[in-house]
Amino acid sequence: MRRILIILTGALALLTSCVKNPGQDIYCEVTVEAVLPSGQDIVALKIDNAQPGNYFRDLNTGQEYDIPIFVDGKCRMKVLKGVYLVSFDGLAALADGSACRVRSAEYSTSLNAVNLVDDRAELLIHLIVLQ
Amino acid sequence: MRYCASIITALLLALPVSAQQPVREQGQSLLFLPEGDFTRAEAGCRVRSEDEAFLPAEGRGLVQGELLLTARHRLDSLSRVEGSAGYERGVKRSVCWNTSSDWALLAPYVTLDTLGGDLQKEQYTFRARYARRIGKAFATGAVSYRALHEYRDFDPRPRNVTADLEILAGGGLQAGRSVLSLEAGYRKYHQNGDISFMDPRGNNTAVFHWLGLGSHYARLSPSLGIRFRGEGFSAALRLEPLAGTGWTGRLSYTWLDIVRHAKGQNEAPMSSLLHQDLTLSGGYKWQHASVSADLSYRLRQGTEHVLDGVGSYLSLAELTLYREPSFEAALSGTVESGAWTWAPSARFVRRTAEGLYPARDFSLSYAELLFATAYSAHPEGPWAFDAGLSLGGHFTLAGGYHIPASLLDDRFQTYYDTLYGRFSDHAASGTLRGAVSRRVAGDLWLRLAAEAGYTHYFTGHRRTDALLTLGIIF
Repeated sequence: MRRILIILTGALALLTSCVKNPGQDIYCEVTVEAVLPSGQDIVALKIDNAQPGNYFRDLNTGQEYDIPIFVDGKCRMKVLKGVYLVSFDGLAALADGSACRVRSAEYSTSLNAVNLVDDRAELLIHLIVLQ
Repeated sequence: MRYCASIITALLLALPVSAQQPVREQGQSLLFLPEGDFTRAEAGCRVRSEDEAFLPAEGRGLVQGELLLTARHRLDSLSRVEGSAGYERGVKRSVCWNTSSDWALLAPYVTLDTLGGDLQKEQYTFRARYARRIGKAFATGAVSYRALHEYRDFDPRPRNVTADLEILAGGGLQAGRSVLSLEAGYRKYHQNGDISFMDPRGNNTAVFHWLGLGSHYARLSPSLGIRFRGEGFSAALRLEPLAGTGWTGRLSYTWLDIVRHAKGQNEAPMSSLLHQDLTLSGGYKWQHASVSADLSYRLRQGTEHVLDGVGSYLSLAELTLYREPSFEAALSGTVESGAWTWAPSARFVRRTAEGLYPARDFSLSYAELLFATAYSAHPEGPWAFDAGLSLGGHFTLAGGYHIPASLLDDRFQTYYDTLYGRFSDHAASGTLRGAVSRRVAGDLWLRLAAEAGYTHYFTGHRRTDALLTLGIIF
């Protein structure tokens, strides 16, 4: 009986050791920074995630994430590692007290999709100011 | 009467094509089977009908013709060979939520559509095994090959061609009154699948590359060509009594990794499913009885590939996002008394499936009780009779599923509600078997066998099975 238990334990250890990608981190913590062409500081940038054209979307699975409010031009997101399409229109409040509508279209097509496959990443978004 | 013993053996072993033992289940035990050579040719018709599909991916019915040729031959006093060739041709009724073949092996990483329809099926199987005794040692070899062709002749039109090859080799040593053997195997799996739409109005349904539990590979949905490539290994340590009485034991491990490729995207690897099975069995055989306890743990792990966006479809990362561990414990026994055989068994199964992102899960625990009895009358003379009755119960103990609403539209919600409702249903089943054999000339026997089964689900659904075979044995 003892031999059987030893064999069984060994076999279970073997099976456990064969777990695929052990200890993998499936998420990427990404810091997104938005900048204006003029270089003006953005105090806050709010995006209406309910709008169909606003998305932070996994290109392969179609999974979408809500984009949080940018504070001081930055926001942080935790997403599944993947290739992402980013597109949005938002309202930016600037440091001088003014506000303007801005657009991100830099990563809106699959050819320009951004790869977020590391544990941490930084994404710089060059905004377009809408008239 | 020279072959009488072997003919009786062949009558007893006259299993339908689909009930053949996997080739890996048999090693040098071929040498210990009852004496004699035989050749058997059978033709049969199998029918399955369900009022609502228990598993839509396998359809709610089957009408199938089967042919099976089997021959066992003792080459000399120390070696034996057995071979079989089978052919199945049939129609699966109303297959839905699946356009790939071998669903049970590949799920959840299959291609599916929500419309479905009847699916034509054609399968060839070839098996051969050889065992030789060398002093106190044994050498064995086995090979099996299966070719499956499934297609539909109206939209959506999947056409899947599958090849499945397995080769085993092993050796054993006699230790006292038992044989301890080790066997290793290699398996190669390939499936080529295409889906076409011939209607000039275009596609009448969407096709999904499924990732399981409501998730799918959205980007490649327009791609309708899929290839599965798999490779696997197995090892088994087995203890068998040399004579009819003694301890039995088996410890086996199998490893099989099947990668799904998108043919139209540079054969990009979309996902892979790794199967690992660990089985431990132990028991004791008496001359007219046996008991066995079996434990098995199965782990299926699904890995999704992150494909780049620039169109070359390189895999940038692999994420293991799907796990399906399952545990099974079973107790069984047989008692032979004269012409009667009694075989009660009980089984407990715990199955879970979980997706890491978005977090979702599906679990089910159930117990099954089965009581089977068989009667065989092989008097001296031209007639032989066999009959059997099996009664079983399936009882769901616990279960549930959780899939985020963001993944489920109305179609998927209905599908999972229905699927869980059917899986968690209690059921009672009964199967009646009968066979009559007649020696028609010399060592030539004619055998007619029939089998009918009925399953009643407690929610009112039902399933019926029938099998009729006619064969000759010589």
